[in-house]
Amino acid sequence: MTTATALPITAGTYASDPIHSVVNFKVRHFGITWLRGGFSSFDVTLTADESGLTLEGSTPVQDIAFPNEQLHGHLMSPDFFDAQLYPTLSFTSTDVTLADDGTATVRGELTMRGVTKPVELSGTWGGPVEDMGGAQRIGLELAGEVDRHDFGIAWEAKLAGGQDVLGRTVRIEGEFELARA
Amino acid sequence: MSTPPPIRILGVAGSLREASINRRLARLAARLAPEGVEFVEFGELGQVEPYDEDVEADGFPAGAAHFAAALRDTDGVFIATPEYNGSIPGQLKNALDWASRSDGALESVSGLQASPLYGVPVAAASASNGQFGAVWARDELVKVLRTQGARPISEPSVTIPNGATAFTDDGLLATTEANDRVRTLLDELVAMVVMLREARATAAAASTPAAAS
Repeated sequence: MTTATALPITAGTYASDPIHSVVNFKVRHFGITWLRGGFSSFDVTLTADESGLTLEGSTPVQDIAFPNEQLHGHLMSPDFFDAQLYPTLSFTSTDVTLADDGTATVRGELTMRGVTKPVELSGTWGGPVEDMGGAQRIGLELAGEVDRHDFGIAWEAKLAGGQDVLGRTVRIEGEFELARA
Repeated sequence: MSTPPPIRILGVAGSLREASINRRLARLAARLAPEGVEFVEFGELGQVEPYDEDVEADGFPAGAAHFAAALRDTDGVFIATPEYNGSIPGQLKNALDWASRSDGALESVSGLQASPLYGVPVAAASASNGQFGAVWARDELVKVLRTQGARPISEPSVTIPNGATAFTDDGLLATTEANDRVRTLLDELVAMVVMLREARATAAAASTPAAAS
C-alpha cells in the first residue's frame, strides 16, 4: 500500500474494461518456442483510498483459454491446474507503486492450485484520461514471472535429446484499461 | 441439512479370469473399505468392445456404455491390475480408452473433460504370481490414468507379489502389514472423494445468487 499523500490518481475504485484488457501467459515449449494461454474472463480492480492503492484480480480457472480442446482438458486436470479442486486463480497486492515517470511496480500474492506465493509485477501506467462518459480511466501494463513448480504444477516430460517439453518459468502479462466507477 | 449419499466405489479387476488374484485383491478391497462405503464390482470388463472411432461416431456401443455408466455412477474406483508383458492387459487399457472419450452424458464441458473418468479418484493396485507384484503394470496404469485426467492414487503402494501364496483361505492377505496397506490406500481414496465433494459444494454455494450477495 502507498500512503494517502502519495495517491497518484483520484480516489475511487477502478474496474477493468473487459474489451480493452487482456491477461496472457506463456511458457517455454521444447525449449525453442512458447505455449501460450489467456484468461478469457477476469475481474481486476484498482482501489485508491486513504490506505493507498490496492490491485486485486481473480478468474475462473476453467475459463483459461488454450488453442486446443484436448489440451485444455489436460491442463484443467490434476496434472496441471486441477480446476475441480481449485476453481479460482486470484491475486491481491501488498504494495502498488505508480511512479511519476510512468513506471508501475506491483507486489502481491498469487493464489493458484491452492498455493499462495509472493509475486512481483512491473511495467508502465498511463492516464488518467476522461472517457466519453466522463469517467476517469487509467492504463496499466504489467508483467512478471513465476515458477510453476512453486504452485504444485510439476508435470514434466523430456524429449529424446533431454530437453524439457515444458519450461518451469511462466511469464504472465496483463494489459488493463481501468475505469473509475 | 440432508445426509450426504454414501460414498460409492467401483471395483475393477484388470484380469478377466474368474479366479484371478487381482479379482481377489479387488474383492478384498471391498471387504476392507471404510464403514459406510458402498463397493460395487464391475464384472463386465470382457464385454467392452474394441475402441474404434468409426463405431464411436454412432455412440458408445453397449459394453462401453455400460462401463461409462458405471463410472458416472461412482465416486471413486479401485483397479487391481495384473501385468502382461510389462504393462496393463489390453482389455483394461481398451476400457480405459473408451473412458477417456465423451459418452455424451455432459453437455456443459467438452473434450477430455466430458469423459466419464475425468477427475475421478482411482486407487491403482496390482498383484502378480512373480516377485515384483506387477509394479510395472501399476505404474503404467497410473500413467494412463493421469493422461486421461483422472486422479490416480498409488500411495501407499499396493503391489502384491507371489500371488499363489499371498492370500489366506478366507480372502485376506497373509500379513497384517499387507492388509493395512490396502486399508490405507482405500482411506486415501475415500479422503479424496470427500475433498472433491466439499470442493463441489463450495463451488455450488459460491455460484448461487444468495451467496454472492
